[in-house]
Amino acid sequence: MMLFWYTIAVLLSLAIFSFLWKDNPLYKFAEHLFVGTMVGYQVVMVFSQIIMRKIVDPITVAFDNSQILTLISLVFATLIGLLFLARFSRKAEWVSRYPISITVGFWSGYAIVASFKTSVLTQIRGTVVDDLGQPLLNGHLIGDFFKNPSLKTLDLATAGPLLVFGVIVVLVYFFFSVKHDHPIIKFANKPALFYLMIGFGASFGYTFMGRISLFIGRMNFIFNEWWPLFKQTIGG
Amino acid sequence: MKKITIILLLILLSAPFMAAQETNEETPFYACDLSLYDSPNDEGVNVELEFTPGNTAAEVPQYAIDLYIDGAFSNTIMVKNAGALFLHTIPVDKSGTLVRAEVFAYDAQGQRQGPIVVKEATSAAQWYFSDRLGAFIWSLAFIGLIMVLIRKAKRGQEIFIRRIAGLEAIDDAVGRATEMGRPVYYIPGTSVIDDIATLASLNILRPVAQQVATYETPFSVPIQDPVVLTVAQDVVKEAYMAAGRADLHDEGMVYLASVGQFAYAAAVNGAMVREKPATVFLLGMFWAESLMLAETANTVGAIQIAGTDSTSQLPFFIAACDYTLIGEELYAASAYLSREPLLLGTLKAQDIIKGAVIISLVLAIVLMLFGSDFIMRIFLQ
Repeated sequence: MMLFWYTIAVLLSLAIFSFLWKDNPLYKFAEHLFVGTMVGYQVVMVFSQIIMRKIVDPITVAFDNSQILTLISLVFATLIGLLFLARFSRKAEWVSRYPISITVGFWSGYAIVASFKTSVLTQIRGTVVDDLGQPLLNGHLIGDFFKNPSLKTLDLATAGPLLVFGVIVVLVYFFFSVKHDHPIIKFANKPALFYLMIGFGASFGYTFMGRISLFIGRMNFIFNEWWPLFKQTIGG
Repeated sequence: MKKITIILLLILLSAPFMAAQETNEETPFYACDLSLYDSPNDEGVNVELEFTPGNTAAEVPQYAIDLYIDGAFSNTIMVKNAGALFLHTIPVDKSGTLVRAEVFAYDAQGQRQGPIVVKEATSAAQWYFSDRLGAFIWSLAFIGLIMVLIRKAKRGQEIFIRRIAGLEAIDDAVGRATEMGRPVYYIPGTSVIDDIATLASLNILRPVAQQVATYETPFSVPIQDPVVLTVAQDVVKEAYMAAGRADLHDEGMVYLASVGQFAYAAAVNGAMVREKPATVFLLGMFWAESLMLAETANTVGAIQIAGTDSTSQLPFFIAACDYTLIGEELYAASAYLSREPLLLGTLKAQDIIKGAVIISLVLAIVLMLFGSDFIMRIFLQ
């Protein structure tokens, strides 16, 4: 039985890989199977993890324990969610916009302070001081390099200033309401692009290696798991 | 006289012993430093314990801390004497819970001595998370600025936005599809509706759909999330109506391709290979499927305009697409295309806040060089 499922997995993997050659019936079959299975899986997940766990079970518990406020809030939230179904009626279609507005409005407001904290303030903090609270622009480290010139001291002395400069020029690059010929924008443009491309290049290489390891994992499954099992089972 | 002299001598001789006894009473042999206090910035469900041994490991190899919650014994924490600070968070059920800690010392013979220190603390809920004061001040300033600038934009004040290359190409890209008689694909990312990149993408969808409707070009918007689907359907429908081509609108042009990430990628890739779109927009939040979609679009010879704020996926778009909106350019795009006062005001406010961030960054760095962390404490906490 194990060989059967392993073989199915191998055939489907090869069917998906066949897309690299061209679109073909095998790929179409795997694609439709994948899409259909995923939809079925999601329906089951939504039913068990959301409808049952977040609606039915809490409502039952609140009802049994006479927790009126909890019950009201749960029923109210469920009713708002059900408004999505109004899309199926041409007349009441507009009602479905209410749950969308509530979702978008809530998350936008909720995210303001949290985003400011994590995406702005923490990043600025990380540009001023390192993890140990030492300033990134540190005169002592530059002094150390001149006293004892080596690659290590050069790295320690320049890493902080380079990071600070990079953050500032990249921030300037993303000014949209200032004309291109403004001297500050002109000055920051090239170094900012240089920093961005170095960052993207590093990220590309890193992620690409991750994809290669995924491919190796699949090949490993075919040649080192499925094939020995196949030989063993067929060969007796 | 002799008797008095002997008594005095006895008193004098015994004085050091009495002093020693007094000293022993003043500084007990077993010592430690215990601090018990309510956890700051929480809803009153934690109490912090800080313990530092006062004896050497040879004298007291181990301490025991008995914890009582609302008078009832809870548990004992055994602390090996490493001579270092020991931190522990005591969880409690609700605000106003009394926690008592009693420290016992285990001597070299393993005898339990004490309690040597007893401390109490009551958990309390805080109304405000003080750690976020800086973020709160910045947010208030930002919101205030946005409101002022939106009002200015509504009054008709001109707000300049610099040229964004990828957006200038939208006209040509849609025109190309029209000339070739092939469809335009718009992929608004694979994230949910509350993702900022998805919202930015849906803002761009409207002007793109309007242009597509004007040129009478076939249009396809495959979606992964059901809520995004409902919003995108409305946006496209309104765009067709605004272009005066409601007759061309078809409910099926915005459809749910699949709900899973790779299933979606497989479905869209298949559709692209079969329909061969002339133009593909990949705008929004993407994950590992970004390169699959971009590569397939490239294979079928489509012109691609991509944009995302995901730094890990941007390199793939830059490598595989004709035009890429990098990070914030995606947010700026909707204001650039629509010229709506609301979006223009927001964009201008973003630039001003960015300027303030750069100034505070430089100030913080300069002050840190002189040993002051004033900016860090007040604005960047």
